[in-house]
Amino acid sequence: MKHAIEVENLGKQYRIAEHKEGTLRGTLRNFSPIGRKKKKAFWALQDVRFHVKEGEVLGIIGPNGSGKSTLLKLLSKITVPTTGKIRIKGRVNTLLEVGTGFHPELTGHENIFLNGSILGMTRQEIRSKYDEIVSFAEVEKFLDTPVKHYSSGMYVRLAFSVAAHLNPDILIVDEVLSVGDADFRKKSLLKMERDIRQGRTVLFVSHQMETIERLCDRVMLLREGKIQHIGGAAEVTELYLESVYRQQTDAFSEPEFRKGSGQYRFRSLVLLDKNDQVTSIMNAGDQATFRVTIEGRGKDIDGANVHLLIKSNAEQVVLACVSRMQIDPHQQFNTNTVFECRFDRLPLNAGPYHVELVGYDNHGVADQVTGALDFKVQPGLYYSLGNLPMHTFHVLSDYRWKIR
Amino acid sequence: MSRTRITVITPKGLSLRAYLRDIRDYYQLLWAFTYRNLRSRYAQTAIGIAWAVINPLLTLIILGFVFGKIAKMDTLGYDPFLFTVVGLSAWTYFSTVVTWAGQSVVNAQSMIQKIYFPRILLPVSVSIAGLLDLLITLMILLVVFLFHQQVPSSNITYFPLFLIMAVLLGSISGIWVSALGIRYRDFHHLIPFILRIGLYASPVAYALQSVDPEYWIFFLINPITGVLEGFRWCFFGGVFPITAISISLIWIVLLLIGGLFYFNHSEKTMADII
Repeated sequence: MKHAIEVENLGKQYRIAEHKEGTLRGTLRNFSPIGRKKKKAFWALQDVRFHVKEGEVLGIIGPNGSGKSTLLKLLSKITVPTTGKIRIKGRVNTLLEVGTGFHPELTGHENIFLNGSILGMTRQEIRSKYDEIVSFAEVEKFLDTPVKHYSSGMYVRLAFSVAAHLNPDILIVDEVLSVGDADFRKKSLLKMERDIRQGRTVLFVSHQMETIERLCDRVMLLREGKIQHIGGAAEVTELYLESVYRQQTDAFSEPEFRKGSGQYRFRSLVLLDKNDQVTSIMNAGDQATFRVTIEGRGKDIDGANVHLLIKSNAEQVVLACVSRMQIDPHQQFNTNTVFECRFDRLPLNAGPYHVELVGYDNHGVADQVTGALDFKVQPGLYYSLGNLPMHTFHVLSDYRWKIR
Repeated sequence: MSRTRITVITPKGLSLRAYLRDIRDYYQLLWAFTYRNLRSRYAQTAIGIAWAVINPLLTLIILGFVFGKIAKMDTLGYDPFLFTVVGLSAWTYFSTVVTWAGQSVVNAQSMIQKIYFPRILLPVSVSIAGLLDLLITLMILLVVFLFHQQVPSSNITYFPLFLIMAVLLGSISGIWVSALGIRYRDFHHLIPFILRIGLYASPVAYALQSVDPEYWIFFLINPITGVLEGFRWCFFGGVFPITAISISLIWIVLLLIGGLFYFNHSEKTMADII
């Protein structure tokens, strides 16, 4: 075998079935010719072929739902492909999240061994790396404390630290470098870079183009389950960013066909992280700013009240941010005005969301943009134990439980 | 690493050989899961591990009393209480393992979607963790024997063999139940029902010999019968229950081979279905 990873004609089909699937009744019915219902099939990944050389770092980028996670799941044996073949040379470790299998009742010490074993390390390996793991995570004093008493910061530091000390031939990583506080992120990124320089083969999914460009030799751009482009890091990330901006402006184009009086129009909406970088992916509990630009008809805007409606995938409004609650809507606004809506801690559960903008003036609706922005929230440290409720509960809130 | 391993992933999933190789590579994870099971079960309780003693003790006393002293079934002249309690120790282990193992895979769903490991380790670790309870139960049994001023028969030296048989049967049943439970959620309702009936339909509180031979067939096709009879032979002696034990062994071999194939087969899509 010439390469570290060889992928031929890879495809993964999922069936979106009616709920009967997976019950005895459903199976019995499938045997009978009358009861059989058609299942909708869709290809999460199709016709994917590529190879990764030994010691190469391949970045994987693409919009949400383009098949990045599916590809990683196939490469790491979590699920099997529907078509095609993967050949991998050497030992693989996958890191789709940190702290997989951590048990809150167990101590830090016990969880290092448990999590290490789940990640595929032997006890001897864990023991030999133990001191490094502990000092990297900075939790020396709390090794005998159950991790449920850890602060959220300590928890992810420990979880990441175990994962960061894996020593495989091939490492498959999904956006896990964005955990912890800023200092820790920098430290993890440095450690990752050092490992990569040692000639390890790495497959790396990220939404942070900056990181991708710095770490990767080549980058693959996925779109709708297919490889759109594969090539040099700078070239492909540029291609991707271009398409992202194009898509963003699409929603705001042709204002004359939109609803409303047009006394003012929405020009753009972007989501910014805490460093004021444009992003489409956030962690629950991160600082997030929605920046809305409106434009009048060449003169001052006579009254403006912006509704920023965050909707779930099911088109249900989960959060309504109404500017009138904090900014007097009846005043005169500059013809180009930027509204910013900031969350110190984004109160959204993990999942995909999109934003609808509705603008009112003193008379009624001035403008409305339905698909103004898509973004995705990843699990984050909203609550102190690091867990999040079921994904159907979209909104998180600053309540405090206690036992009296 | 002496020789670089090549992994081939195709729609067919892993070959049984590759699967067995993975199980061998991950055997340390089996201990990690077993430890996790045990620790999490008794963590945070005020008296911790003492529950592992109290729980079987109370169960044995109550059920032993009901079956042994009130119902008074035919126990071949042995002390009915002791007779029942020995049967119950094996039965309780088996039913606990089947119940927990059935949920083990479903409970680990977040893990299963994020990382690969041979999933079969989940139900197997449950049956090994259950061994602790069984061993504690056996200690209690010995105390109960002494309390009744009796000693187990000399066959007790063979007991470890039947212990292995019990663990094997527990593991294998756990493997089947957890794999079926993923595919068909109905099994989560069916299992408690089967276990409840099994307590009466298996020779737990009565002796197989006391049943009309006409009905033996129903007991002999029950894989747990051999284990129950074997346990009792160790404690009370008597005729070696060769038929029941051979049939149990045949069951174990068949279910083990079938279970490996079936589990490996269903493991392919486990992360998608869960």
